[in-house]
Amino acid sequence: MTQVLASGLAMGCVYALVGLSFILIYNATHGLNFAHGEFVMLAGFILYSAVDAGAPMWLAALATLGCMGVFGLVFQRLVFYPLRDRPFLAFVIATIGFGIFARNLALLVWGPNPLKVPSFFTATAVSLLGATLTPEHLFIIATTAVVLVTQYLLFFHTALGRGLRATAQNPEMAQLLGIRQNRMIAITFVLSAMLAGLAGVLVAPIFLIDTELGGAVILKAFIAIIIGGFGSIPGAVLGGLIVGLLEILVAVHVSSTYKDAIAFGVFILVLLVFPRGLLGGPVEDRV
Amino acid sequence: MPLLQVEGLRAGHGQGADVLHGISLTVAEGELVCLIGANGAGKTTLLRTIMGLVKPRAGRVQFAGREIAGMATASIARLGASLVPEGRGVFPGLTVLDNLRLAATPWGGTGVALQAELDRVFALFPILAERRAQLAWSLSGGQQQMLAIGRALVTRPKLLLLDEPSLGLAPNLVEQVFDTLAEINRLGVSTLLVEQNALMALDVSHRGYVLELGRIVAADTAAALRDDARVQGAYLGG
Repeated sequence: MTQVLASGLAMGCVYALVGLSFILIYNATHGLNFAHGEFVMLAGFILYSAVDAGAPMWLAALATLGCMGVFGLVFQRLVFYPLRDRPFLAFVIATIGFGIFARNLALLVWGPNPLKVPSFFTATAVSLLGATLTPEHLFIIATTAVVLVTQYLLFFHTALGRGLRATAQNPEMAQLLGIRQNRMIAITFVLSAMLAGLAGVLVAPIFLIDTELGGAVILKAFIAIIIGGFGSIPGAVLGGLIVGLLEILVAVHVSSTYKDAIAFGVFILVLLVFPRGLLGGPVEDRV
Repeated sequence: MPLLQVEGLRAGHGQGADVLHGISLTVAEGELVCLIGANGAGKTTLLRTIMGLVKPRAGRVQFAGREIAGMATASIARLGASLVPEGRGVFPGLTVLDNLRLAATPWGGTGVALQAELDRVFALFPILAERRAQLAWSLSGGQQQMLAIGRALVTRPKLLLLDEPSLGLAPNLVEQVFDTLAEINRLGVSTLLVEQNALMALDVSHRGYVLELGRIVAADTAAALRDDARVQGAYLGG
């Protein structure tokens, strides 16, 4: 049972990372990045290439995160920036287009066959409190915990974090105080792409990497975001953990065939009871 | 050379018609100048155009010796112009303290220098010191106005621009806000004040402009405008 919970939590952490990085962009720009799943996929492929080129796993992972940061900047410049003054739908459609482009580019570069990266660990099991657990799952949970704490400190205890939150809450006022909005948005895209990339790096060893990697993760991350309350970062994390745990518990105890159907059923039930999600709050209190 | 010099400024929203039809005005170093006019005269548009939030279509805006027409808002703010917008624009999800600290961005203030600015604001508005850890949305309207003005001061402005600071405040608070603005001006901050409450505005100002349908129709000392029959009829209730 502990093992089941650990694996559910680990997947939940991945959904949480993807969900919260999606919400970072939404909060800063009110844009929905429908290429976000492809961010995860790209990170998986880059990790594979780095390992394939002979880099040790830890170096490959760091290199991937670095590449994703640069990629976030380029994405912001090419896809977001030219459309920043257009109705928000223009950016949404551009991201859908970019998603299709990225999947097909990946198909050309890395081919149609699913690729495998090695585990971060040589051991296949570790004992903890009398339970046998996969080190991979513990690593995902621990890394996510560290990242969430770091992100909290960044957002709530640094000048950069204040600038990022102010830009998300009232971009015009932020500019009136001398904060360069375009720079804040560029930083947001870099952070977001790195977090989505981290999710890709974390799942790559337990999944196979192919062009559908992003799609599998982003769908669950969307559910997580909406259950948690759209726009809320703690909500995205809470929602991610709920979805991850729910998925595995249903698969183990009810039916693995219908786990997605049941997950969606619960999702609909949550929305019936909490139309704005668990941490969404009433409309007038949203900031 | 005055601190702010606007010449022949034209501006409007989006593809729409001009809202400002060639505005010229100046604010000298140390002056408190008010701009009065009815709803829809273009007062807010004028302030927003000076700050670069609305792009000017023609004319010049010179501030602190630099041409700022067409510059990015953040750059204008960094030159030392600080707008307190209508509706105050506090960041609702940030604490009072974070709202204030953010305002040190134009001069990159940290540490002791920033603390000195915060202490000045807290001396001016003691209630903000008491509520420093509260989120800004939980403040009353008057307290939010104090926060907005205090925050503008933390930017170390050469020029303070205020858009309807009395809007939505109880009468006793309005008086307090105007007293504070006069005090801030005495401390050396040049101010351009936009107000519908013409009498209050003229009481604290050195000079005033009257704006009607996007044009300046009168410009004089505050005392002269207060005695002007047209201004009395239109804006001072008789």
